[in-house]
Amino acid sequence: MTDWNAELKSRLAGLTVRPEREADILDELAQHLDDEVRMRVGGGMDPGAARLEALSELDAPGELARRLIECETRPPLALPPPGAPARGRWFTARVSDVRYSIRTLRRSPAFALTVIITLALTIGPTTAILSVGNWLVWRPVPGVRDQGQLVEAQTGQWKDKNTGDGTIVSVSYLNLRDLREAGQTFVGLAGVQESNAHLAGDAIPPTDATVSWVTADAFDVLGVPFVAGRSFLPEEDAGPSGSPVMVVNEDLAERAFGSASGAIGQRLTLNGLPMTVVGVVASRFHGLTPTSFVDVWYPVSTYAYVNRFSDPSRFINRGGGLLSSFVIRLAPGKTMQALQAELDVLLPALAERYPDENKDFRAVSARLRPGLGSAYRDRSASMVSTLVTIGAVLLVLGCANVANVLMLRAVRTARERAIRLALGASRARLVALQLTESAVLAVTGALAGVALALWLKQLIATLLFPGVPEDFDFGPPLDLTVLAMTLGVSVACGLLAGFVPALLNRGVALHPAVTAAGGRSVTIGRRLRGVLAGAQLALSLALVTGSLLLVATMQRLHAVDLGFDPTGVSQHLVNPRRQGYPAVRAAAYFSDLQARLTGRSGFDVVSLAGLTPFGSSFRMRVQDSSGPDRPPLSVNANNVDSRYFDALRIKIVRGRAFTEAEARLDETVDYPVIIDQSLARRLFGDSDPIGRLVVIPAAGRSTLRRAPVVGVAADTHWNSIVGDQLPFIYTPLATIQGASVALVRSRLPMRAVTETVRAAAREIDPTLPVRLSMPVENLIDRRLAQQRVFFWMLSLLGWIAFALAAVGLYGLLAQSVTERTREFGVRMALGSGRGRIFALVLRYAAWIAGLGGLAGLGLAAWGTRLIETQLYGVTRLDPMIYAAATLALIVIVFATAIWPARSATRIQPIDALRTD
Amino acid sequence: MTYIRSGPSGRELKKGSAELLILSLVEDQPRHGYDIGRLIQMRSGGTLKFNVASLYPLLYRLEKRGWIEGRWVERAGQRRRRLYRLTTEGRKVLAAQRGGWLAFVRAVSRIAKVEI
Repeated sequence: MTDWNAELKSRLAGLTVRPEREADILDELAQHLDDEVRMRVGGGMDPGAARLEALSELDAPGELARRLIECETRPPLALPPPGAPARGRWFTARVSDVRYSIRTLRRSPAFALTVIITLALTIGPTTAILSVGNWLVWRPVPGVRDQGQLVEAQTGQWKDKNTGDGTIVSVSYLNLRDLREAGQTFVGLAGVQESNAHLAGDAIPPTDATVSWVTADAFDVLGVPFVAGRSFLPEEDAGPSGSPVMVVNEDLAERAFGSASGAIGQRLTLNGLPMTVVGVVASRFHGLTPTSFVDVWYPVSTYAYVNRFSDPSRFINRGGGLLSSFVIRLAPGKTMQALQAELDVLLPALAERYPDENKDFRAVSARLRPGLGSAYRDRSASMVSTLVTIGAVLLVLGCANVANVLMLRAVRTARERAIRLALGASRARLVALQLTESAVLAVTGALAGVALALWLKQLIATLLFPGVPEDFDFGPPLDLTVLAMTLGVSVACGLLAGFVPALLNRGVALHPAVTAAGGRSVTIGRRLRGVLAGAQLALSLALVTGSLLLVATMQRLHAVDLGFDPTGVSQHLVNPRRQGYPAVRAAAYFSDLQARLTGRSGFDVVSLAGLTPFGSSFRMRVQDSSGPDRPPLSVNANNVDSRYFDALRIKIVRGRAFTEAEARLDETVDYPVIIDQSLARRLFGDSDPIGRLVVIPAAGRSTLRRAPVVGVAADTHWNSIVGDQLPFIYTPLATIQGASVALVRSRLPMRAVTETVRAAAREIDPTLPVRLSMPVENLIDRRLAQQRVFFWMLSLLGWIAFALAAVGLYGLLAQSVTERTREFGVRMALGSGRGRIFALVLRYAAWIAGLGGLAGLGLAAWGTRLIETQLYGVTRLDPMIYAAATLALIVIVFATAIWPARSATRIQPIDALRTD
Repeated sequence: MTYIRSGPSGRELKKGSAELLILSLVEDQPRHGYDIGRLIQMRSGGTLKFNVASLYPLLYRLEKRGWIEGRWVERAGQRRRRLYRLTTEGRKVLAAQRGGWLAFVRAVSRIAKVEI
């Protein structure tokens, strides 16, 4: 045995295979050489010569290595040889079609990029918009079984059942029990209501959590799965003091105790009171709407305990009651109408049976809504319909553009395809190739779109929820259903657009397509594309008009003088009363907090108040002394300390702010008030209000008190940027409910302010959470959230639409120049100047833009009705806005048209005549 | 990229014929590479000859397609040998190629008026 390795290896240079494979090849070739040598030696040859001769067979230079590389490293998917089974051939052909399409597209990068960008701009925003919409509104409430059988009910005396206008009436536990017993149309009737409470535990820093009080059967009625422990027992529903037990969400159980099962029997505190965890529900269930965030449930009977009610009668008496919102599961085969009819009988029957306790029930009826979260969905309805409209428009626009560009391409390649046909390619093959190209573009565009969607989704979410606390985990997932739908539509439209030219092609007679630069079909295609381009311009003009209207609105809203200066002011809410602090201790707590914060570096003013502007409202009735029989005035009220007007920079136009001593006066003594200018005008006309008396309700509201006016403050916007403002009255901090918010004017970043306030609060009482720390500007922004979303969406859409329309128009003009090359050549040959040719192209553009523009203005005049309610300080037909939008259209059209027009002037007559 | 619908091209035929030869040789019994090369040369009376540089790559290609299957056989004191045998799929291909070949040869001889 000779060692051939060195000889062989030198001839295998360049072959890269796995070492085992190389050893196999070496072995096998060595064996072959051995055999050759043995045969030659057997025939009498000298061994040395035999070796050389055997090796000489390998010596065609590089031959062995080349062939081995070819068969070892190339995939075995070459076309099967004749006679091989036909299976697998279809796939192989498609793979090579895709490769071919990619090569072709690389040769026209502008075309490919246009389509891909268009698709990305279509799929991305549409997917993002609809994902957020779906996440917010349409998706079923997670963790609830069979929601089609559920009905939400609210009990009250309704003026209008559709809008929910009326007075809510609570149902007591005893009444609820009677209803359940009598009801035939439903299998479950559970009370579920939500509010906030302080939640704390060993591993849970005190927070303000959304909690829900429920009847014991609530989880059964909803069909919520438990991962550990149990639901509430019927006896835990029995009042009056209830059992201090709770059911928690799996997420909370894991955060607090490490695991769901580990949570059972453990304690957390609600409002500082110990509660035992008896059950853990699946982490996906967080309450009754898609975006609820309830972590804790407790039995309704425990409400009095948790909220430190001294009088439990609201629970045990038939006339009391804590529940007015219910979830009802219909009996199989029963409808909501049947349920309504039954409740319409049962509720008045309760009034008849217990006329004293249930006297309110005579006029009570149940307001039913199908499924869960209807009220929540109603609130988002206008936002959602806008989102959907925008998504749909974008999708249509994008698809139209893709179709346009693909058709343009088809016309351009008509000659190539005609030649292929002439050379014997089947039409089916051409269609297949066209479709492959469309599919390659669609897939690439879709991928880019998904990337864009991921980014946009976050942007939209932030727009929708300005001022969401930083530590709140918010992120709607990219919705796969929505993505699939958008992908489906755009890919389908890409394929369709691939089909149209392929079909157009069917009518092309071979001869003219090959010889002339086009044929009839080109003219037909051009008209169609002209209409498409015009329609796109119209649509984008309408959208841009809408977005400009909203730009003006935003500007005007931001320019509104609110009467106070929110910049740099943040609110920090604390609720010691909820944790059982008596009034005096709560007041002391706030004074302590204020003292600790005042004078910190960067903290300019620290004020205490009952409420924050653009937070919540408190109404008070003030006697109108201007006439003897005038009804009392409804005014907004806030109880404030001596620094409030400094903190918010509200001007005191007459008199003075409260002194520190005045701010400490409570309801038990006489106290002064400050009124705003509009209240001063209403009550006292032009005379000086200082020192005059204002008649307001005393504590308990059954008696009246007279309060001297010590100051007049400038009018402020309390709750809305637009619309008429109610007059305002300021009372001393200790009145009404006492302090509940610290307002800090500071130059420090928000995070630093929040940290400082929290640290100071912890020093006083580590179990009390500071909640809703946020800049007052964010509170104001919340009121603008809707306009802001409209604004961003419409602007985004409008400019994308303009970009798409420009692309479409450019393609149309460029193509028309190519098609008219011969005509232009002839014109030039006959003495037409370049300027005239230039004008000719521009005139064509102007026609399209003119017609599209007119249609667009009409569309805008009609369509802006949809956003009319969002406008402020500008009418929906504002001529300046329409002029600006039209100007933008003209600029874009001419900027687009200039390039094809210039290329038309560069046509050489001689070349033009030669194109045929 | 149009596929011209016609019979196998010349190059394909030559490649096809080499494949046909190899497949036929391993049809009845497994053989090693040297054996295959030698048999082709012997049975064609020296007209057809494969050298190492084309024989082995072709064997590997056929093996990759799953038409033949190689297996190492070890004997004491000798270098291990690789024996190739026909797979089930290879058997089908062989049958098809034989048919195709026959048709081709007949067609050519009819046109070229060659007596076989």
